[in-house]
Amino acid sequence: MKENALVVNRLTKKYKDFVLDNVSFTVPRGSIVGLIGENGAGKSTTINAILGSIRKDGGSVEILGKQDTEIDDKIRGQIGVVFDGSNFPAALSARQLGKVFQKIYDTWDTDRYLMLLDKMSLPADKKIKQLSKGMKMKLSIAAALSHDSRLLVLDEATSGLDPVVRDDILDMFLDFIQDEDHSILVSSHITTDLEKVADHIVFIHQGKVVFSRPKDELRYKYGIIRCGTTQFGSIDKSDMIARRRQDYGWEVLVSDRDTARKKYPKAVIDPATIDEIMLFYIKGEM
Amino acid sequence: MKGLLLKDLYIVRDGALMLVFTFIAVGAGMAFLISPWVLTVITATTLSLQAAATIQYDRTSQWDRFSVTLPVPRSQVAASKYLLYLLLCSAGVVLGILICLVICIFKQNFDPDALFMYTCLAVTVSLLPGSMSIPCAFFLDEEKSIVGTVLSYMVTAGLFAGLIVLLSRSMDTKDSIGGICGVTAAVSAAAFLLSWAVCPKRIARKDL
Repeated sequence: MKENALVVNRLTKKYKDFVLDNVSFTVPRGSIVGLIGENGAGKSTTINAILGSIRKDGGSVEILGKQDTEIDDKIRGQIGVVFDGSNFPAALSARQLGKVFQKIYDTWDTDRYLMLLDKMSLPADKKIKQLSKGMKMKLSIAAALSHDSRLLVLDEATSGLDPVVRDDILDMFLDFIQDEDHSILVSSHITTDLEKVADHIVFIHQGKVVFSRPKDELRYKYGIIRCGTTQFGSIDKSDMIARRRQDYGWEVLVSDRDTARKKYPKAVIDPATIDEIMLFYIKGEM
Repeated sequence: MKGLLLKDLYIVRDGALMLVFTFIAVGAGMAFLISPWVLTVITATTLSLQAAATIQYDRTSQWDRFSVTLPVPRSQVAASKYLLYLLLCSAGVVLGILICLVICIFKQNFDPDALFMYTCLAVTVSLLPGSMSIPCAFFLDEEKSIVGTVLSYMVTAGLFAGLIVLLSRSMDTKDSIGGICGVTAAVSAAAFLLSWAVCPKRIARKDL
C-alpha cells in the first residue's frame, strides 16, 4: 500500500495576475493536512487543480496511488469533496439528493447517509434552500462520508460557521481519520481549527509553499522572543526566521524556542500559534 | 448520467407550477387567437427552455464546480443537458398534441396537416435555439447567456422567415408550408445533434 493518499508535485497554474508556483506537498495516509494562507494565497487554486476543476500548467498530482492521467471514475468515487458553502441544488431536499447520489456513486450507502442525517439532526425532507449555512455544510460532509471516501478534500469548509458547528465538524474529521486508510486535506484560514485536528501544516503565500511542517513541530518548537531594542541587537540573525517591530520593541520568530531560552536566558519567549507564525511570514521582515 | 438527469428533473419539477401557469395564460390566449395547435409549440419551447435554465441553476448553486469531482466524465455532465433538453422538448410536443387532440375532439375539427406543421414548428423553435443556447449557457456568464438565449430564438425566427421569403420566389409557399416546416425541423434536429457532438468535448477542456 502506498504511503501517501495525495502527492502534489511542482503544481503550477498561471493567470494574468496570479501564479501558483511549483507547489509541492503530500498528504500521508491516515493524516489530516491543513492548507493555510491568507485570502488569495492560492489555496483554492491548488485544490481546484488537484480536483481537475482547472487545468494545471505544470507539475503532477497523484491521488490514492494514481497519477493524473490514471485518475478514473473509480478513484473519483473515493474522493469526498466539500467546498465553502453549499454546492447542492437548493430546490432539492437531502433525501432527494441522496437518491441522486445513489445513481451517481457505485459505492453510495443510503443507510449510512440517512444515519448521518439523523446523527447531525438534519431534516431529510426540508429543501436545501431552507437550511442554515451550518446545516448545509453538515449536509455536504454527510454526502462526502456516504460513498466510501478514502480521501476528503475540504476547501474552507468551516469558514463562516459558529464555533459549535465548527467543533462538530472537526469531531467528524477526527472520527473519519480513525481508519488509517482515510486522509484529509483541508484548506482554511481559520488556523485555530487546524491547530485542533491537523497533523501537518502547509503554508501557502502568494502562490508558493512557504513551509510544510508537522503541526506539533510548529506548536512545540517554534517560539516568539519579545524584547526591547537593546536585547534585540544581541540576538543572532541566524536564529531569526522573521521579526516584527512593535510599539514596545521587537518580536522575533524562532524555530527552536528551547534552544533560544538557553541562548537568551533573559528574554521572554512564548510559544507561537499558527496564526502568529503565519503573520510573521506575511508581515514580518525576513 | 441517470443521477444527473434525476437532479435536473427535481429542479424542473420545483418550477412546475410556474410552467402550468405559463401554459394556461400564454397557451390559451395564443390558441384562441391563432390555432389550438400553437399550444404544441409553446409547451415544447417552454419545457425545453427549462433544461437550458438548469445550467444557470447549476452555476448559481455552484453544482457545476462540485460536479467536476463526481465519478462522471465532464463531457457526460454536459451531454446530460442535451439529453434533458431533448426529453423535455419531446414531452412538450406530446403534451401539446394531447391537449390539442382533446380540444379537437370537442370542436370536432381535427386537421392532420396542422398537426404535422405545428409539430415540425415546435421541433424547429425548440431544437435550433437549443443548439445555440446550451453552449451559451455553458461558456458565457449569466447575463450574456440570457442574451444568447434571446438571440438564439431571434436567429431561429429570422432563418425561418428568410427561408420562406427565399422559397416564395420560386414556389407557392402556402401550399407547401408543411414540407418547409418538415425540412426546417430536420435541419434544426441536425444542428442540435451537431451541437451535442461538439459542445460536451469542449466543455471537458474548459476551466471552471
